[in-house]
Amino acid sequence: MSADRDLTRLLDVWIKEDAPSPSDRVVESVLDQITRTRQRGPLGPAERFRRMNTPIRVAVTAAAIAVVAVTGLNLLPSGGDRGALAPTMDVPTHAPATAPATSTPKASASLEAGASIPTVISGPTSGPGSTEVKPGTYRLRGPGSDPAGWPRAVMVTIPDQWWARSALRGAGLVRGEHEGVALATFDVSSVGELLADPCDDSLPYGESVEPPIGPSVDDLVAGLTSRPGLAFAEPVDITVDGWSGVRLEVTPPSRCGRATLWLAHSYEERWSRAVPEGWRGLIDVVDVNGLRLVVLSAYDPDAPADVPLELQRMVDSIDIEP
Amino acid sequence: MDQDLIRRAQRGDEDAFATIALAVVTRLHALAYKILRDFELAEDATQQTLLAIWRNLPQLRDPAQFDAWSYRLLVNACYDEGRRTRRWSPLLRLLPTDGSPGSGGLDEVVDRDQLERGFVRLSLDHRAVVVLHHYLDLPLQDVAEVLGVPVGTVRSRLHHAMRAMRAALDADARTATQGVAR
Repeated sequence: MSADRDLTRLLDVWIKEDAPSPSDRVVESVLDQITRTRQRGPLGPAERFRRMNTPIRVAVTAAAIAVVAVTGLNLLPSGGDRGALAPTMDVPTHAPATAPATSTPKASASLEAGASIPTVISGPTSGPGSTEVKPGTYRLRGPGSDPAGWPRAVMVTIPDQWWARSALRGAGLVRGEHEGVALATFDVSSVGELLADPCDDSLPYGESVEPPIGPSVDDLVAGLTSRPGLAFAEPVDITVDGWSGVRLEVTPPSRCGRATLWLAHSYEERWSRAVPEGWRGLIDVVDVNGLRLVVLSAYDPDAPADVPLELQRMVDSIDIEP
Repeated sequence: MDQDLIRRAQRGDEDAFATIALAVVTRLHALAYKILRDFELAEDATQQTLLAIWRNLPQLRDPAQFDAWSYRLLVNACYDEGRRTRRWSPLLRLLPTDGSPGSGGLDEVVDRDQLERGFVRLSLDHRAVVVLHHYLDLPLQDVAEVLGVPVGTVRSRLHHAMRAMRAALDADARTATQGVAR
């Protein structure tokens, strides 16, 4: 092709070529879903004033309402046995770690000696929706796609009725296929940024606090508890499989539809963790020999009574291999 | 977009929203398709965008800004879809039959495929800028407003995108020339 070709002219012509039309199912599916999808409330006066002085911001909500669940858990098979699970998506994920109750001694691992560890299913490979995670024990991968980045294997036992949602990054689960009533997410040494305003839902992400938070448990706890509008109960010392940490209980402010707690990243991927309005959020931050394991579990107070118990059992099931 | 429709949808009127959805779906899908270059992903992104519009519409203070606001939702949905899967589906296109024979017609085909290949090598951020500016003909300031980034960032991304595409086209041209020379 001639070097003198007018790229801009060509691009203008090419890019304006007709695109294929969407199928009818797109709108049909949406109209079906909105009947059970709640709208956010309008912005309050203070928030409107704040946004008047900034560029137009798009209030975008993740497709999975109230779901912070990440693309799912990337599990490394034990001995090459992947079990009877759906193919794993090639995305960097972090093992979710659930923190035990603050005063509960380490629960024994649910793994049996010699049991093969199946590979976790992450989100479906196409289309919106979820992939059901079969109940069982899963090993979680560390930061990025390099398993060597996480020197220890972390296992967690996932009960029935938990799903990995599509179009979500990181590692996380939602209780229930559609309207999630609880979530559990896991970040291994990937939490790096806090939003200046947890209610800032600008695209792709709101303004971060500078400088980025430090790598320790105390750094994250101090950073989170100093965020405006987030109400935390007094931090409580915990242990997860013998490793020390801190548990924070957070209540999202009523002024935002969901409170973004932090941004995590690994290689080129970034994702947020948030707690929906009205939910109860528990953040467990654990120091595993210098690596920070952060588990977010949250649930709708109107969820069935066994849901918070399930979350706690998942946390209690965490087993960190030496 | 009929602002009365928007106001009604903001108050939960599902019929009003249905009208809005039907009015914008083709445009949003075209945008998504041009960014993602994948029909299925574009449908998914469009669907997620429409849902996001429904959920967040009450927070749109100025209904007159609906278009820019929806574009931003769409771009973000494209980011989600594009990062969820890194697969790239080669596109099959009907070749134009009205082109002149010989080098003119061939150049059109070569240009289109080369542009496609050059474009899909761009990151989503760069693709979004190219599509908003060249497909929607939005001025750079408006592109910056939609994306929520400084206009300098938009200029930088556009410059990088055009440079990358030019390099890809030139590389293809060198390959084609070498092939002919054999």
